[in-house]
Amino acid sequence: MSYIIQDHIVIDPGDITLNYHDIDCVLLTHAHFDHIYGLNELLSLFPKIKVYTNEEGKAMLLDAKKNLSFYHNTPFIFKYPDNIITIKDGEEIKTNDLLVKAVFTPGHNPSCITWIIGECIFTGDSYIPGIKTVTNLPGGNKNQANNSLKLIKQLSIGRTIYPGHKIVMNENVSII
Amino acid sequence: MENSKKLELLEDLFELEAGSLIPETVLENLDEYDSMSKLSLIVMMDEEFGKKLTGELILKFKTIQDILDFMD
Repeated sequence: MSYIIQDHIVIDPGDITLNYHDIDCVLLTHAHFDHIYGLNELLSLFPKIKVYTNEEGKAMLLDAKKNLSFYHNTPFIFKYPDNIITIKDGEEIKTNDLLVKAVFTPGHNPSCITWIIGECIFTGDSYIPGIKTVTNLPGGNKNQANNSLKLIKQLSIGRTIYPGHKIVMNENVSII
Repeated sequence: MENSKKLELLEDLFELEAGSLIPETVLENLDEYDSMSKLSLIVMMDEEFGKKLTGELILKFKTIQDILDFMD
């Protein structure tokens, strides 16, 4: 599922909707197909978008087998590699007036990043409340997932959790 | 590849304890045989066995033995 933040950040672009007006930043919680498949369409609409992920995520964006789209019979390869910004664990970026922090949370996949924006925490598939983290896809690691889960739970104290699935599509998040 | 090795691969893939699968295990009764593990199975067949496993074929799998046979 996707989130839009203050009309200019999209997290995990799937279906592109009319809610997208002036997007300049994409944050990926990881680069599995179901979290990235709207990227090419989004970049065709907003070609200056910067796409933030880690090195593993970049490799997956450019390889249909690695992002698993190949196995859904809808191969997806990101067409705008120059727009990818790779970040490091703990790195902070400032976009417009928002400070965004990346925390690597591998286990579901090496490309997993939990994003913290103010009092919101976007956990992707690293933590979906009530659902056991999936670790049996390529690159999954149960021990890493358990460690990431502990970290996410610490980071979630006092914050609202926005997971990668199970909430209404394209919820427009208000950041205070 | 011997059946015992294949079973190890499947137990690892389904995140089951060693020795918990036998050829007669009925997939329908296996909670771990879900959509994610099926996708993982498709990837494993492609990358480790060079075989294309389709959704249609997966539907025909009834027991672990069917998967073992496909691995040959």
